Amino acid sequence: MPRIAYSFPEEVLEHVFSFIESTTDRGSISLVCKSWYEIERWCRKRVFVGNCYAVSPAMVIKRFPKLRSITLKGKPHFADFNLVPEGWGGYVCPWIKAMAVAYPCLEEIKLKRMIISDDCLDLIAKSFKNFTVLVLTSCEGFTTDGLAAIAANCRNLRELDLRESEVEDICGHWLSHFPDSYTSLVSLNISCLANEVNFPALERLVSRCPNLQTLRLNRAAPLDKLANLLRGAPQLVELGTGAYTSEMRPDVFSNLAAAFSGCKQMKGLSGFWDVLPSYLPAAYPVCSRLTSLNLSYATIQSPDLIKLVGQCQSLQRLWVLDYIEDAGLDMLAATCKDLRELRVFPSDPFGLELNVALTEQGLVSVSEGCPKLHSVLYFCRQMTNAALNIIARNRPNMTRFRLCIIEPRTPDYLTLQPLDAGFGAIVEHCKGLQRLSLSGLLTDRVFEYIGTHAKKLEMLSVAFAGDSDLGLHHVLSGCDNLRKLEIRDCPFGDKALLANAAKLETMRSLWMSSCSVSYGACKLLGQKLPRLNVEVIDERGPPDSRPDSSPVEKLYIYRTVSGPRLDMPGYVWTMEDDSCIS
Amino acid sequence: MDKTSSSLNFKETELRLGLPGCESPDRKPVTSTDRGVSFFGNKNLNINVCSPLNNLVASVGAKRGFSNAIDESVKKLHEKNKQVAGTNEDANAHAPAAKTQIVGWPPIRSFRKNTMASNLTKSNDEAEGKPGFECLYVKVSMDGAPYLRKVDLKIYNNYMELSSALEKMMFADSCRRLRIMKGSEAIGLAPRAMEKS
Repeated sequence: MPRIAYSFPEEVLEHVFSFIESTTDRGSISLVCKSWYEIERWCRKRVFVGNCYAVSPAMVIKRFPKLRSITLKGKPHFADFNLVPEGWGGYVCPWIKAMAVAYPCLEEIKLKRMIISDDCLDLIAKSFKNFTVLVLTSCEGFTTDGLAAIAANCRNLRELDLRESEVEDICGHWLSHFPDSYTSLVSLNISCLANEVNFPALERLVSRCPNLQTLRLNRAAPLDKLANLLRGAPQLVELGTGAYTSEMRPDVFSNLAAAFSGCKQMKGLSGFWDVLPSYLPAAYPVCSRLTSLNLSYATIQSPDLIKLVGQCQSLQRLWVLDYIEDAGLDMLAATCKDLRELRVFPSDPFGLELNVALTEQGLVSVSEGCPKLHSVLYFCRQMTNAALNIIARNRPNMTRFRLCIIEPRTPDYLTLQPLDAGFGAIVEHCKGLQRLSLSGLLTDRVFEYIGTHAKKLEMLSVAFAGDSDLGLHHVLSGCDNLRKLEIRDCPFGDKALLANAAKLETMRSLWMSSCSVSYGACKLLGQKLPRLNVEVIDERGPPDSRPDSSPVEKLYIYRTVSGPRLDMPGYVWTMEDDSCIS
Repeated sequence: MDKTSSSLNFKETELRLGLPGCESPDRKPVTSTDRGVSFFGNKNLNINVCSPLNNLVASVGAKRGFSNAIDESVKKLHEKNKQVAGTNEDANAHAPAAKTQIVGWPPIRSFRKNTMASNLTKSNDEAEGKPGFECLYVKVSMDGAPYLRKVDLKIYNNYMELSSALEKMMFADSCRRLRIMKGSEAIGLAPRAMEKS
């Protein structure tokens, strides 16, 4: 009987593959056999590079000659919290230069935590004739001049999304560089920009782009101009307001309410800086249809939050400040039965005392009342093992659980015990848990629970926890699907790392800072595992100037097929593998 | 309030502190539209910045000596503070000493920290004397050290504390010049309220 795999013409296989979009599945396809690898690589349109240093541009281009879309991530996650010094790396320029030559048909570039210059943006604008999507998440290194180049040249641009990037805001007139003939905008997110953009230009842009679905303004966008803008785009699905405050004038309110009434497709709202609560009812007309609401910059108190959120019965995602308090979360639990994701941010994280009535009880309520809740980020000041236990039993469908108890090493406030048992309950009951962030007082025990139960865990964040290397060993030896591990200020040293060295090649990356890993151990790892880059970050000067037993400040280990990187700053040292030692 | 021209260039916004008597080339003279900045003094010091929101602008005259320049800035700043600060006039009625802040903890992104910090002078609950976010991140470049540092200016009470902390952070053994660079980590405080007044 002929083997089926060989009897299909390539074109047929290619056609079948075209229905497979997930990059993971595509990866699996490519491993079936050589011919499938070949067929797959020639028709691959999108690639996701989780660590820009894991592979070189040349290698990607060589394997996938026909890419249309690339996603690249640069700095480690802890860079978000100032743990990665300036100049560390994550430069996208070499990628853009190489792709400008190799992929004239490239349509999408999505970057996260990378450095991109105006020159790069200019190169993008001029090299890719059919460029449609630019997403820059937490990026930096560019100015509004670079945006002007994109606006001026990308005739087919559909998405320009600058999520939380640091943009040097030179001039608000960059927006005017979109030509009058340009009408294809679908999504625009400029919420991170510091200054006012040229508003008349924005209004004209919005009103001539009939497919515009997402518009996220920046804080400087005045509220009294919002109504007009909305009237020009009643088809908007997602809106980010600017500052939600104005001199209280009845006409501003009624105009705004009328404009919101016209937005029948609106599903998501965000922005809400500087909220004047009396303006909130203007948004009521859209509330019942909202699935996503981001009030995490709205410094309004619980009663106003309760009034607003109480209107949003269809809510699936809520981001809010802890001003919502337990009372507000009770209301959320009672009203929003479709809730999938909750993030509660702290209003006063650096204060010494509790300033709001938000406790573990709020999270317990939501876990009880919202059967679809699976993603949580919760900042609070107190927690108990009992509460975590209840949450775990209520929500075995939890996939992402990030708890941040603000004061490090805070115990269960009722029993004064570590929170090992509570987090243990989470990993035991939530069998599909993919992401976990720990906090509070934790011993090696919690890591034993994690290693035993968290078999689907892919990303773990640990801070101020554990007693010994045993903790780290439990995680590295037990968590079969671990891809990213980030640790700070834990008493983990060499033993667990060296004993589980091979595990590191199965992960994307490991970050350890303010731990007890010695320089000698780093050298050893670097020597023995050539497919890893073992990077020591130490601002005290060359690690050679200290004894081998001396702990390094920070350590970033990642797997790579392209060898040590060449763009490191002076405070980063790559531990060489055996083949490099001359 | 005046709007700063949108054509601020990098050199203009560099704060360079040299030894007294040295010249600083490439600088325009200080104009009356510039706003002084002082990064030491009491904890209630509101640091006023020009637009753009996220840029820390310092104007120190090229030819003036260091301490003269700082005194000038402090004077200017106190004048401006009287217009804006409102509730925070009493130098002694400030928050209890802030505990030592741990770098990167709690884990909150810079964008959020910066945004919330600029709510400081808008907050209605100033009565507690402890508004939201007490941090002001700037990028600092020290001569002799090749890389910028992000530091939180709010945890230093005066220039000496800042300088010695920076020395400890850097490779350089001595600090002869301190250059604070305009960076998007710096925070604008209350420009909205000010512009409308």
